[in-house]
Amino acid sequence: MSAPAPRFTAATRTALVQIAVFAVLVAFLPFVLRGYHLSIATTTLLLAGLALSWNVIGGIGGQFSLGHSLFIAAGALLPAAFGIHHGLNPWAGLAIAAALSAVLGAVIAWISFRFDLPKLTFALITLALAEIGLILVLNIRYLGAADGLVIRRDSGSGIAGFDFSARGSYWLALAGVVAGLVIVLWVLHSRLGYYLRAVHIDDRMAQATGIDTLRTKAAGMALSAAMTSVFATMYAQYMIYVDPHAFASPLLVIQMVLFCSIGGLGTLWGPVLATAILVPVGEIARGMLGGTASGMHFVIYGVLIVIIILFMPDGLAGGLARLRARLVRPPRGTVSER
Amino acid sequence: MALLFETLVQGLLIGSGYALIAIGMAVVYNVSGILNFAHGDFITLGMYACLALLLGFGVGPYIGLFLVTPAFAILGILFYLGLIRPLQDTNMLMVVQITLGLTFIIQNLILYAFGSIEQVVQTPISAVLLHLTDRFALRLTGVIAGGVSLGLILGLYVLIQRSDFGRAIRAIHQNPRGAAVCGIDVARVRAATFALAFAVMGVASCILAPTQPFVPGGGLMISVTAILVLILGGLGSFHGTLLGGLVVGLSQTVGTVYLGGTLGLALPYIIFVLVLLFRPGGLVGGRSLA
Repeated sequence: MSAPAPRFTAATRTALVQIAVFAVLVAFLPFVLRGYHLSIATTTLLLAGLALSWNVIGGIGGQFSLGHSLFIAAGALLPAAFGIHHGLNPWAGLAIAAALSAVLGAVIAWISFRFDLPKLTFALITLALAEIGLILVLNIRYLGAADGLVIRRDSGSGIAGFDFSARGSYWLALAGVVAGLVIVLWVLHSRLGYYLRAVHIDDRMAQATGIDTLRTKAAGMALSAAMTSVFATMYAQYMIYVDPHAFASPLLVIQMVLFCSIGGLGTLWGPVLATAILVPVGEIARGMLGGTASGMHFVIYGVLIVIIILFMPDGLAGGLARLRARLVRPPRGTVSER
Repeated sequence: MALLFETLVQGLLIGSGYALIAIGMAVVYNVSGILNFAHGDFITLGMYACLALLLGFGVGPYIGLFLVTPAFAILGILFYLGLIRPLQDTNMLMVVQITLGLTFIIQNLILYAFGSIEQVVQTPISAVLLHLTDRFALRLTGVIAGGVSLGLILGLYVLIQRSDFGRAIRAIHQNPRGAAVCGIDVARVRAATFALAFAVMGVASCILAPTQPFVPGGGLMISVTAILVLILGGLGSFHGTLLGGLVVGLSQTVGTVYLGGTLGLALPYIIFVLVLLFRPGGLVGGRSLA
């Protein structure tokens, strides 16, 4: 029963080193970037974190949830509402929202299992649930309804009160992304990861080999939901104003799915890579065109998406791997063929 | 009783419009297996084309229809040749993503050209009301939209069920390789089908433009509604799409009138979730959805 899953292979070690190098290099950015550019970098990190979170169940597990806006809404709105109405500490709110999201995610996974939903139906049922969630949020006064919530914060309360400087917010987001990368790496090499990939490839076959698909899906979904909620809390606390049309609508989820697919579904670096390319390009274009041509930066963003997909239909991670294989002819590989 | 009648009539009119929008998407899906998320943005684009014709040349939407429709047919062929065909053999999912990328492009080009204000296409008959009872009247533009929708859906049904072109479309839907073996030029039929689907979308946008205000970013909501209608009815089923459209339209008006508030707005989605839980293949059609 408890055959040990392969734990610390050379591949995981390489990936851990990559993550460490990434963390150190990116940690120095706030000393170079200021103001507006730093805020772009922070937003990019937060969106990369959201993409990483979706990747767990959508990319690795192949469960195409469009209902992640529920978890985003929970993570963004609940801590804000708790803070405004009850003066609750944002960190406590973050934890409560993450726990609730995990439970909700597991319930959605259970529904999908109980009714044996085909993949496309699952995607669209979660989309419908997301729409119901948006309608609810827009009509519940406690959650700010259509006006949204403005996060109240004691200035000078420091880390304990979630009161971060611009640089602090950036490093917090970076810490989140690094933690997210480590979690995804762990998932990829854990029993859960192998089960999720089996479910991704063929649900019934996985079941036939003795995998508890309900537990696998529920665990993957709960983890993904909790991570999503945490990043949403960080994003909302960073933005100060929680707009329900941004945080409770499927718009952010669509971007998460886009970043994962363009980067490479189920890969470690793909979602981060795609976010790191698309978001800054869009934002910098917005800065340059902002006054004269509103919306044009999104056109550039869209064109970029179309071009990447046309030239790398299996995502950036796959495309880059192929590119590297073509550039670097492996000398050892050719020798061993003899 | 009178209220119920009014609610139902309104629901059917709105629903037939939804069905028409979803049919365009269904035709594209049937021949290429792609759920086009930019569908709604193309419809919005058509509505703005009507607006531009009206403001620029004084051409109303019911005449503009004869310009927008052929333009859309050409657009459909370009869409197929430029974006869909090169990706035909790759991951389906990426094709869906490319339509999402297209969403950004179309929405924001419209935003750039027309600004973000809500627009309406005024016609000479915009103020005309049809009195069904003393207290209940329908807008003529709405009745025209509903009638044309039903007529067009019926026409498409006959075309796809009875003509050789329709048989070719269905053959490709079932098995592209088999269809090719039987001598069907798959790429050509696909291109023609995209032209057909986009022409239908062109007509839909022209007849719907006078019935409701629109904004540049409204396309995504139209796409989502169309997808819900399509899935609710049962992918690939013609009757299903019509039925799905009517169910969504009716549940919207009934929900707003009789339930009101939050529950009323959420009713179409609640019905959608419940139906799919127990019939994952949609109202018409089995559990074949993979």
